[in-house]
Amino acid sequence: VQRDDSRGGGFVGAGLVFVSLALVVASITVVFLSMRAVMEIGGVCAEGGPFVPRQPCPDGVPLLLVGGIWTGTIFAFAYVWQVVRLQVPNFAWALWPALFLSLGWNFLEYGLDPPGGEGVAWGWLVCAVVFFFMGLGPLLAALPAVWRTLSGAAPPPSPREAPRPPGARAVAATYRSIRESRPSASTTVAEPPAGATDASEGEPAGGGQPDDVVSALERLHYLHRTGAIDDAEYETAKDRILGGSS
Amino acid sequence: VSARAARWLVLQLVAIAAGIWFGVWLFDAVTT
Repeated sequence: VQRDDSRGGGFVGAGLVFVSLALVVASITVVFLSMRAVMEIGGVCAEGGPFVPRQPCPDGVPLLLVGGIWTGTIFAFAYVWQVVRLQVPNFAWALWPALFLSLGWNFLEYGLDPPGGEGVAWGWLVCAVVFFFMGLGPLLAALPAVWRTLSGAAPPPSPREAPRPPGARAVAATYRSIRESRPSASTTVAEPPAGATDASEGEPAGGGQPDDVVSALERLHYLHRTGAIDDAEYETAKDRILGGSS
Repeated sequence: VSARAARWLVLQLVAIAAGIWFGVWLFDAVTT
């Protein structure tokens, strides 16, 4: 269902998307910079505890690291929730790769040129490789879908491919009979529910199993409740499903 | 890309830029 984002509710949704995405990106940025600050002093630091730390952390960095990770995680979920709810093109696919590729870059840069200047830090280079794989894997897997989304090259999977619910044939046959009985119905009757459009021609509407009949009645009730069919059409279709005479 | 999609993408690109700016600002403010 396409939601209308041009009205007031759209501004709220747009605001939530903006704020949540900005905070996720800010969190990744803070974690990226904090990690570099720690690597500048050798990659290990400590604070608190009963002992005097040999290498204290840079001011504020532990707070930024912990806060950034938690803030980023929470608002990443909020961002994904909003873009899924609003069904808008988004950058959710890029969050995980952005985090791991940026941190992997830190490992690569400081691994090739460690702060102490003692050649190459192999431990950090191994971390760089691991992080690049973790970031690139999902990115490469997501790229085709991202391209389809942005270019509109291929439609999403058709509802016809979905398993057809029980009773769909009965509803589709009833729907078709209503539509054919009204010359102008094509402009006034909504499309039937997904999965109810490919019923075979000529199948008796009321000849299904009991479960089919119940499902057909439920779907008919849905059409009536949503205003797709009026009271008379509802009664006619119900009688058909139940095998009535009218 | 439809006009609706383009509006959303621009909004989010601005959010990304704002997020980077805010992250750098916050890091500098806390660590200095």
